[in-house]
This record gives sequence, C-alpha cells and structure tokens, in this order.
Amino acid sequence: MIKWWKILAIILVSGSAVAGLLIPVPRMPILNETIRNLFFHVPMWFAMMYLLVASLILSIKYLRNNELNTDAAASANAQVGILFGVLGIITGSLWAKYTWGTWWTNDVKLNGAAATLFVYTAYYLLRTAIEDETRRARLSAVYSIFAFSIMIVLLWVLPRLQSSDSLHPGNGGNPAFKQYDLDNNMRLVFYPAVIGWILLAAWIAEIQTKINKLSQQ
Amino acid sequence: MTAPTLHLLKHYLKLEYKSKATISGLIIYAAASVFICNLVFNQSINSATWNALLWIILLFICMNASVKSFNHENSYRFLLYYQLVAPNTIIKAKIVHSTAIMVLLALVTLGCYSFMLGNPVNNNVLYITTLVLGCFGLATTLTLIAALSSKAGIGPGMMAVLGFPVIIPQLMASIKLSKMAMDGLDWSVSYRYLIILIALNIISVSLSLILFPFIWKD
Repeated sequence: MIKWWKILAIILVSGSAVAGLLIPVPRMPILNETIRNLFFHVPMWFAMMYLLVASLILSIKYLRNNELNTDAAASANAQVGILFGVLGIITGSLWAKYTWGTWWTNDVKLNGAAATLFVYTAYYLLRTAIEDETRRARLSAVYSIFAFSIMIVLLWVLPRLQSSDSLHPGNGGNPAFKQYDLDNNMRLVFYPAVIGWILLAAWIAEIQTKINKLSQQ
Repeated sequence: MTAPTLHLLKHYLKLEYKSKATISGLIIYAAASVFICNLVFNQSINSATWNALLWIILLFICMNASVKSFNHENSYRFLLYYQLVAPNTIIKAKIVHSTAIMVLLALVTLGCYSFMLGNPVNNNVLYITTLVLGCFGLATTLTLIAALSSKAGIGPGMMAVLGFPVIIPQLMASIKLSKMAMDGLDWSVSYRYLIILIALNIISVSLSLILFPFIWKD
C-alpha cells in the first residue's frame, strides 16, 4: 500500500519541477534564467543532508543494538546520500557552466562537496571490502560516524571560514536566496521542492534498505 | 594520563627501540622523499608550493607510519592486550606514541627539506607549533583509520582510500596556518586557523576515544 507521504512526494516534486520552469523569476544580471536552478540544485543538498543525518543516527543505533537490519538501513541511507550528492554536483556544475563559464572551480564549497563524496565513497568501498557481516556492520558504522563529523566540518565550518574568497551564491557578497527571497513566488516553489525532494529521498532510501536486507539473506 | 597508559606507552617505545628497522626505515623514507622532490623541482620552487609540498610529504610519511603502527599487532598479541588493558588505554598510548614518532619525523623532514630547498619561513615559532599540531592531527586520525583497516583485514592501499578523505580538513587547516606563519602574517589574522586546527584535533581525539572500543572488540 502506498503511504500518504509518498503521494505528497510525487505531487511536490513534479509540481515544483513544472512550476520551477514556468513561474516568473526576478531578472538578475549574469544569473538570468539560471536562477531557476535554485529549485533543483539546492533541494539535492537538503535531501543529502537528511539522508546522511539518518545514516548517522542509524549507525549509532547499530552500535547500540547490533541488529543487521539497522545496518542495512544505515548503509542504504548513505548510498542514496551519495546519489543525491552526485546529483547536487551535476546540477551545480551545469549552472556554473552558464554563469561562471566553467564546469568546476576551486571554490571552497565545491571542494567541500567533492571531499564529502570521497568520504562517503570510501565508506561504501569499506563495506564492499569486508566479508564478515557483523564485522562489516560494526566497522562501517564506526567509519560512518567519523565520516559524518568530517562532512560537517567540510560543508558547514570551512565554507563559513573562507567565505570571502568564494564565488558561490550566498558567500563573498554574491546574491543568494537572502537577497531575492523577497520574491514570494520563488519561495512558494522552493520550500515545497525541498520538502518534496527530502520525501522522495526517504522513499528511495526505504527501497534501498529493502534491497540491502534481501541481499543479506 | 593514567598509570596503565604510561606503562603501555613505555612498552610501545621499548618495542620501537628494539626493532630499529621501523623508525630508521621511516627516516630514510622521509629523506628520500625530500631528495626526490628536490630533484623533481630542481630548486625552482615558490613559497606556496614549498609549504604544500612539505605537507604532502608529511602526509605520506604519516600514512606509512600509521600503517605500521597496527601491523605487528597480530591476533595473538591482540588477545593478550585484550585481557590486560582497557581499549581506551590502548588508543591513548597509541596516539601519544604515533604523535611522538610523527613530530620526530616531521622535524627530520623539515631539516632535510630546509637544507636542500631552502627555508623561507618568517615566523618560526608559529610554524613549528603548526607542525606539531598538524602532526598530532594527522597521527590521531590516521591511527584510528589504521586500527579500523587492520581489524577489517584490508591492505594498506585501502587504508589510503579510507584515510585521505577524512584527513582533508586537518591538512587544509595545517597548510593554511603554516602558510600564514611562513609569510609572517599578523597574529590577529592567523589565530582563527590556530583555533580551528586545535578544535579539529579535539574532535579527532574525542571521536577516537569514543569509537576505538567498538573497533577493538571482536
């Protein structure tokens, strides 16, 4: 049976995708129509943060209860978290091509995002390298907790410290949501998009959890 | 630090002294890396590269040193330690031990490096402080990762995969701060990075103390 929040996820994601392309947006120099990327790029990071926090909580829970089902859920959340991180980088990169003229720059935010993906890919590799199930679950839970703290430093601490030399919107005096959030149209699409993508992420993680549980048997 | 930790630390240092091959191997490794960098760059190096290159060499030395730190802990010795001491005692002793080794190696590296490639550092006190703090951070984090990968039974190549991404914040903070020390920037500019580096080290130590018991038990 399909749950109400899954239906809500479908409505919010498809609705915000259509509305995000159609609503009138403020005309900003350089940004122009790429401002619509806000509805697609930013929700990816919200969804990733949700999944990684869920993975952290489940990893701590595993170390307390030692149930392999908890481990399956923790790894599923991290796996889908990597997916959303990659999507975030791709959407950001496309946007950067049209505004900065390059796919990638050595920006502190971009590097933090890439390093986060490396950390969680290493977590995934660690899981594939260990044969024994309980040992894999225990050691990867430990690494996951360590990885999460590194992710917090990479994405929340370092960008704020060096924000003056960042090109990213919201840093170094570049326009961001704060500057144009007076535009209520954008808010009306942005917030539902964030909620919708988080719900969709939770849904995908739920399916991945089931796959992980089945492959454990 | 408690008595068992000190005792275990003494034991580790004694082992290190008995098998001189490990430490002398690391010193040769450090000197050889510096020599290769000297040949490759052919002494045409600007100050930013000078600093970054030193930290890259230190990272690789620390990686090598940490891989070795849990290598000889074969299953029998694991069992012996398991019966004798608490896991926290082991990780505390290991952290102090590998920091001591790492600081020694860093000073040797810095000596060789300055000898061959020159030394453009302006604020020596801050530079050495950063070196010690950075080595402490590298040693702590990589010791935990080494313990994890030794328990996981995966090779040293895999340990690099696990270790490099999680070391990025500490390495970046160390490089930034030591660059500031090198340029002789004012204290009011560099203190933020010093605080960040110390905070990162505190996070590393506390995570090691919390997580090591879970790695340790089998």
